[in-house]
Amino acid sequence: MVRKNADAFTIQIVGVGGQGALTVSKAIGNAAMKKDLAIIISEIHGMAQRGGVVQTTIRLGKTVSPLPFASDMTILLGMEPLEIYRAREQITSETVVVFSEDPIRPVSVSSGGSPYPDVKEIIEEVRGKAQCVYHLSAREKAKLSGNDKTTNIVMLGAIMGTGVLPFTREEMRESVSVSVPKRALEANLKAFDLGYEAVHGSCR
Amino acid sequence: MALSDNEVRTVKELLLNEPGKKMLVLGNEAIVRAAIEAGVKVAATYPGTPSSEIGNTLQEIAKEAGLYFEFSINEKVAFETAAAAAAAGARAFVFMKHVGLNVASDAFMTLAYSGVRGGFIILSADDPGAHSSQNEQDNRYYAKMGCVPMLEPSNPDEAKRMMLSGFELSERYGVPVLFRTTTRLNHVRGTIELGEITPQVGRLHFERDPSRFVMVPANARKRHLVVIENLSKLRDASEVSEWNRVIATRKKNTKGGPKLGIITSGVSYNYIMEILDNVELEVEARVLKLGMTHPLPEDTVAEFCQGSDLIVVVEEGEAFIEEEVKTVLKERDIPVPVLGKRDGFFPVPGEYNPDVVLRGLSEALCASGHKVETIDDETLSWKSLPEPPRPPVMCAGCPHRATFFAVKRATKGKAVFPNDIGCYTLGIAPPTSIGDLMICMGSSVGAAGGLSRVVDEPVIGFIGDSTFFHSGVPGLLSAVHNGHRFVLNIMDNAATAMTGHQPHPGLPLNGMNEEAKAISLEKVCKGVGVEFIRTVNPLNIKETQKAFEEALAYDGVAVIITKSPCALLLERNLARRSIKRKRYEVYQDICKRCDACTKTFACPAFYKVGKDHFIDPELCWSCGVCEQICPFHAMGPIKGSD
Repeated sequence: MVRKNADAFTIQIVGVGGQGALTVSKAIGNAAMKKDLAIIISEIHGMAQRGGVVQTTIRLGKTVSPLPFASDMTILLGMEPLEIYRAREQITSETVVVFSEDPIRPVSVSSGGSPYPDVKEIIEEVRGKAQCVYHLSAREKAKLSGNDKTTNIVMLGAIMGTGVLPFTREEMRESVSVSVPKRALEANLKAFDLGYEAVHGSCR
Repeated sequence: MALSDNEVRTVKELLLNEPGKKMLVLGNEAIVRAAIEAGVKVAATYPGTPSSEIGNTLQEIAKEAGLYFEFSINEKVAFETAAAAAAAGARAFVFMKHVGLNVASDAFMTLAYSGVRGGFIILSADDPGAHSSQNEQDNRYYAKMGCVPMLEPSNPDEAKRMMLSGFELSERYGVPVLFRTTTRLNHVRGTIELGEITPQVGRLHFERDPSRFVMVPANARKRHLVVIENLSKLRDASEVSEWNRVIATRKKNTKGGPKLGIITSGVSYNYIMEILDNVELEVEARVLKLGMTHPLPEDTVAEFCQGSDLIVVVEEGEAFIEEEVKTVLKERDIPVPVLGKRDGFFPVPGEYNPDVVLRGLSEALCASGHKVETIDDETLSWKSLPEPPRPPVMCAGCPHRATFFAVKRATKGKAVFPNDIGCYTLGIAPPTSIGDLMICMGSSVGAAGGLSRVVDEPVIGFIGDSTFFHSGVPGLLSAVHNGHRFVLNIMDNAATAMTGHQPHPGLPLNGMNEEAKAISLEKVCKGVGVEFIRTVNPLNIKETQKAFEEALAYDGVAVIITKSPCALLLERNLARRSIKRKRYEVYQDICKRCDACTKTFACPAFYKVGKDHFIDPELCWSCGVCEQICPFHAMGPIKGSD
């Protein structure tokens, strides 16, 4: 059994500073405001820009708490595979896990000391436990969109593709268009669609 | 400067004069909106997380809002600037991180005697869990020590409304108000509703009243009596405050069970509500939510406790409310047990969340013979995979990393390194491993003097440009006068970088986003009597190493200013002008796989595949230092690019 708030959705984003989690949460925020859906977003700033771990928690619906019970994760979004593994205690049989397969090696690895886990093993580990697991190469999709920096919007498209969240594809697409810089609009919308289609109807 | 172009557009919406409009904003932005709606005329700060975005936002909109905002040299100056405006009769606002109030505490304690004419809010942004701080101090004790009223909001919307009423409270009683927030409010986004904007007062005539505003001993003794009298009036105000109220019984509680009274404040309230809404408790629970936590509404608390069989106090930080509640019940002979931190049910350190609070609540209830719904948590077993840590590090292209590299060469590792608060604190991580003693803002300078009198190795202190202006200058003056012998490295990266690139007195920009007189670090050092001053570009390793070698040989206080802008700042400026920089690579035909690059310099752009070294072009910021540190000259600009 899992302790949770049945009247609220919780989306937890884990990743590395500079991956654009803030833009994802702002897009979800804009969509919620437009639908008059109560939303609370919790971020930890500070050291984020310096390559550290970042966590953003988004709560939609009936709650006043910016933080949920640890086991109350509707969607766990991993912008990076090691960070999904690090957040494994938050995965339950009711969690939908979506993550990017592209590693960002911390300095402890790139400087030669510690090993980085095998991404295939991470996928195997997560697969048997969560309600649904989707994984994709956000980097690859971003390249296809024509702008390498759209990996965050690829992942937003991906979580929308799960069909779990209380927004339609069009509603979120519209929200993306007001949340990203104008000059990169086209690539971001394409990135959103690529992410959406990659996971739509492909739960493993 | 601190915000991106996109962010600037968003924060400008905080100026909208559209009462009733709903906006999703950061807690810190809600606070800015409250300042605008309150008609604040003067605001001041020294940047510090988790309060930083208040300043970043004001810098962009102060001019349009018609209020005066400054990044002061430190929190004490910020406090005095805003307090004086409030003494004259204008509404004023000073904000800082929790440890900033230590710096401003001298002014705080005595201003509490004088009081103010215009509303004055002192915002302290506490950081339970020390996400980005050197300690977890609970600044609510300052309210008690200064005998000033205190407000503690729970969410962005309440913060905005509470701050507006804080200005009224401040004016009604002529006292400053301490407004205590925590990270999980400052950095939470929630919905606010815009209200009317109160017009600011015009230019004022300062009405002289030395008996109130000049704290010589004779006046101070009289004002102390006023403070005590005020405190008693404020206690009455707290009894009827709209922010202190009982929240009705929640749906899942058992009717007819023992009566549990929960007293809570700040963000802990949110976690309690998440629990009461979603966990079966065999008790009838009521919540006393305290928003005005000093002075404590003693009658309200006593009445609430009398109607309960058991009281649990839930508050992040120290047992501030708990101790007061226990005193009140003891004095009034009310025999209801009060459980909290003092009995070990709730932790003092760390940040709270629903799980931490539920654990404490369950233990408190069990100890009192009551039951809490338990569930068998799923036990998923995970295979153990490598889990390399990912601590924050100095960025690729960071001039501090280059400076540290040169220092290690110059000292051959034989030196003691007092360091200071800023990005360069990250130098403690290997392989740089520089940083031996760090206490607070500016401490590197005083500590260098003390160390130089007792240790047998040379002493090199490190301090950032903004930190040096903040509180390094007096230490340096004192060191020269007292004849200490050490090297001080002022790391000038042209920003208050750690908190988000706010300007400081060394830069030609101020809090109003106007051009300002830049104060020369060299001239300041010369002015306080330093005779050995060298300015070098840290990205030139040889030049920097030589400067440190000369400084180490100097008999006295030597200052080296390493001057090179923050890599993040440089990158953003280049991107704005669409300038592409040349990237670097490892020349595989020359590389001897000696690992010197990763073992001594460890730029985050370096990575290895097997034994081969590479530079990630996405991360490389083209500082060119790798070209200088590779013993075989196997790193350099990508061939074929220029």
